[in-house]
Amino acid sequence: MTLLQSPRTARSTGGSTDWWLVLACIGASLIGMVMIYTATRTGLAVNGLAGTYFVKRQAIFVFMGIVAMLILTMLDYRIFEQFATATYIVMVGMLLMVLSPFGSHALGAQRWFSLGFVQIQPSEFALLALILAVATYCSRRPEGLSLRDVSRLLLMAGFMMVLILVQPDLGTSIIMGITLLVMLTVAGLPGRILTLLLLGTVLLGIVVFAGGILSHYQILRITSFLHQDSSSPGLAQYIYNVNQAKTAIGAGGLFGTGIGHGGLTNLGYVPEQQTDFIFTAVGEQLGFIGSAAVLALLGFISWRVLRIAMQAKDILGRLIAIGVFTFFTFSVFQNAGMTMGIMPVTGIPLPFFSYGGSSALVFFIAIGLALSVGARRGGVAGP
Amino acid sequence: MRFIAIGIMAMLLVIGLRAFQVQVLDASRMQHLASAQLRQTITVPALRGGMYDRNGAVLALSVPTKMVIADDFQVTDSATEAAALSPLIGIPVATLEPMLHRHSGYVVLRTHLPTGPAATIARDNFPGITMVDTSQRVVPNGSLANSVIGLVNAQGVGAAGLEYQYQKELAGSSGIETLLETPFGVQLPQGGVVHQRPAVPGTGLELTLDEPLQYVTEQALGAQMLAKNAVSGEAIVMDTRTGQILAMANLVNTKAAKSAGAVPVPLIGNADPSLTGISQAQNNLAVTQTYLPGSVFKLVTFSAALQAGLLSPTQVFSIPDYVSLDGHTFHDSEQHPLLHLSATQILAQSSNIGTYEIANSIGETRLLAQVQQLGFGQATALNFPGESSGLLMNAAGWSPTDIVDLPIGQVDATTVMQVLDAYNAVANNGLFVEPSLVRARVDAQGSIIKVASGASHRVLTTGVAQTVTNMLEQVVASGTGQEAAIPGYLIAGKTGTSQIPTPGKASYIAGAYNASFVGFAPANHPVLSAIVVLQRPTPDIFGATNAAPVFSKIMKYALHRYGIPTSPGGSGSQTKAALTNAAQDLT
Repeated sequence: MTLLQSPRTARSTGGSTDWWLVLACIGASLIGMVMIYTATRTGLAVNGLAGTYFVKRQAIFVFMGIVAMLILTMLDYRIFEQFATATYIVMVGMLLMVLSPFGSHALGAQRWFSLGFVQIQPSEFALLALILAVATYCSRRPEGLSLRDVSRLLLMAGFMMVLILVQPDLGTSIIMGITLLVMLTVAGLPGRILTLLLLGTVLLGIVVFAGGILSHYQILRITSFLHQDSSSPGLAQYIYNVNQAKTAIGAGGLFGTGIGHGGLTNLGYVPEQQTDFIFTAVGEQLGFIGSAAVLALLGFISWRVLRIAMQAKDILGRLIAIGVFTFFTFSVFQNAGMTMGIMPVTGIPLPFFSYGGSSALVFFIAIGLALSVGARRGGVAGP
Repeated sequence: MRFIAIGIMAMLLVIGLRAFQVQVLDASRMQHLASAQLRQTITVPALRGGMYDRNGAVLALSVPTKMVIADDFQVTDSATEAAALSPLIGIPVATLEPMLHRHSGYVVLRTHLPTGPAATIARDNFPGITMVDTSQRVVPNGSLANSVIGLVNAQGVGAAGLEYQYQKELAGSSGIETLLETPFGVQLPQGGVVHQRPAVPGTGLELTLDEPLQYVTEQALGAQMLAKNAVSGEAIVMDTRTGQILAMANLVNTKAAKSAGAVPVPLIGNADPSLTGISQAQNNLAVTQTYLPGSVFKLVTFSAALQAGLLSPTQVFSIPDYVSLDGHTFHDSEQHPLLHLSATQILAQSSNIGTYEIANSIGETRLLAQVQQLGFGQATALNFPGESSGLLMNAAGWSPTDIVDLPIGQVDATTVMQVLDAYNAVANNGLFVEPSLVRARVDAQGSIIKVASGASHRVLTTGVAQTVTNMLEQVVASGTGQEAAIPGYLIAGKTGTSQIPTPGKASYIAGAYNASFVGFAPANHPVLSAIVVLQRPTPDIFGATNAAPVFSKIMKYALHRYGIPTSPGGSGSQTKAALTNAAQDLT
């Protein structure tokens, strides 16, 4: 498969900015803004507000994100190494602060900082900090990871994951865990340790689920995911959410209802339809053709990031890119999957589509990191 | 690394496949689920048909209005909104303002707002204010003919009278609108009507009633009820040939009813303001209430005897002061020596003993048959809600004294309408015509579709009808009915004064009588028949003095209104007699 060719045989060995990737990300966020506009305009109008209220705010963050992405592209990713420890410590500090009275509550969780008109969700940025930290740590162990290294990395990531888990934000901690596992594997984790880790993860999962560590609503979300046709009143509100999402997506059919003509998403029948459930607006208005196109666009972004990882000239670059790739792709899978009932409901946004300042910034920054690696690729032997 | 990358990218493929399943394979089911949620079907009420008198005057009409509802959760600034809305909706700001923040989500501000201000409210798009179509039943003439027209309930559904009887036609059929709504029930600002089936307005009714005559009838009856302390009263005027009812009044004297301890009758508002204390009965008592008709029932005996050829008007009978039968003694109301009266005189003076002698000569069977022949005991073609068929004696229940009591109208219970129908058959040369109240239907476009008048059938030969008419003329000319006379017209008719049974007992209420007069005019060429009944007048109890004058008043107006030529022989003889002789009928 040529897509996954190793760096040794890569056609391009010189570095240049991947403009296709830049264009794809900007394109995705523009489509996303159209979706946000159609999903929120009627609800705003009914309340006597301007229909562009949400989309304007999103546009500001998208613009900031694009600027951040381009700045990062211009920087040599190797300097990130010097800041990795600092960003890790700063992010842990912010995660602690968000749990303090400085943080603000919304929808039953304490995940945000409220800075006047914007809300910042540090857990999304924490993931980027962790990617940098893990990549830096591993790049400094070119001989391979010992059990001691792995333990340190697990401790480092585990601390962050626990802080995020108690917010509670199960979805982000899970993505963090998966990203970590993938990065460690790519970094050359010995097979037996990997096996142990996987077993440990399964065991941890059982303990978390059965040991009363999860909140009641998290258990209900998972239970409702496993019983999507249940008529149990306790599960009703969780099933309702997913069923409304599935109905909206399905109602789009092959060609969709047309932009601005999506009854369910345009009139507010799908809860959180402009944020976590923005994919329903895509599905309903653009149909299967549109959903497939959007998934293909996001897949294209994934592939370009993966390509950068494959062609990276050093371990640091490769791990940063593979971390971003995992984070990005798994977010798409988790988010789109939950709207169609094949993944449990979590608060993971759809990259470049979901309304929200933090997520818009985070994904542009993440792609910026990958672009920086890509602009300086080639010339180094693979693993 | 490759395998991991393939694995992660495969996730996107899984999502794509799932999207295919949901959006292509399950699409129709999902689309059905979606549209079921989005579309709200609402019923658009049809405008109820109006009721008009025979000349097109409005008796009852539905006017389109709007019900104004506030979803107060959507009202952000109740003070400003109340100030703007107040003049349009006609509710003071002080009252309106609290209604806009009641935290209920559904506050009915006004049920019937005229369409003018409603259009302004719709145009100005007040937050949280919605309006739905309603209509208001308007009766421009106040309570006029209310007991016949009936009424509609708060939902606009006919609840009594013709409004109830013709509910289906008057109501029309409601339409359907399907619109897009947000999950909170807010209709889209753009309107968003997806599908519409327009409402079909109800069919209007052109009644046989003549509004001015109805007014005069109610005025004359009501005034007399006040003057004579009558508890209730009924009056009907009918077109002799067609059976169409031109006026039909049912009134209650609330003060007299209270002091008499009468069974309360449901009322609809006051009658005309000039008649304080007179109310419209909610029921059309003339067809729903039965009473013992008294002497007006003597028509049965006389017509049966004439029909059987066993009586001639000039045949003379010896009338003793009393007769004894089965241990009971019967006499006329005043003592008199042995009299020799012709059949005509017996009817004119309403002699009970004389009537008994005639009845005795024809026998029970002929008598019972004639009661039915004249339409008693059967509901009329009006089929009016709550109409009574009356209650008849039959051969099985016959007792020896019934041969006296039945001919004088103290056995069979009838409705006021049935009595008029029987006399109208006499007026109509022996042809019985079914009464009617609806003359035509008026569709939504205003086209008038005539309704056939009541069917007729012969109940008396022309000869018998003419003979009875001549005899009834004498009642007004020289007998008990002289107060019914109208200068220039020959009037035929009969008085009645009957006792009222105590409910549940085999006795009569002491001092309580029904006073009635029924007749037609002009007697030489009858065109109008009418009946007037006053229940329980005191102290004067007689039909001759209570009911006959009302008949005269109403009939006089009607004859002039319809331009009926005066009668050649009716110059002044009846009138003079009326002034000089106030004879009373004796039951």
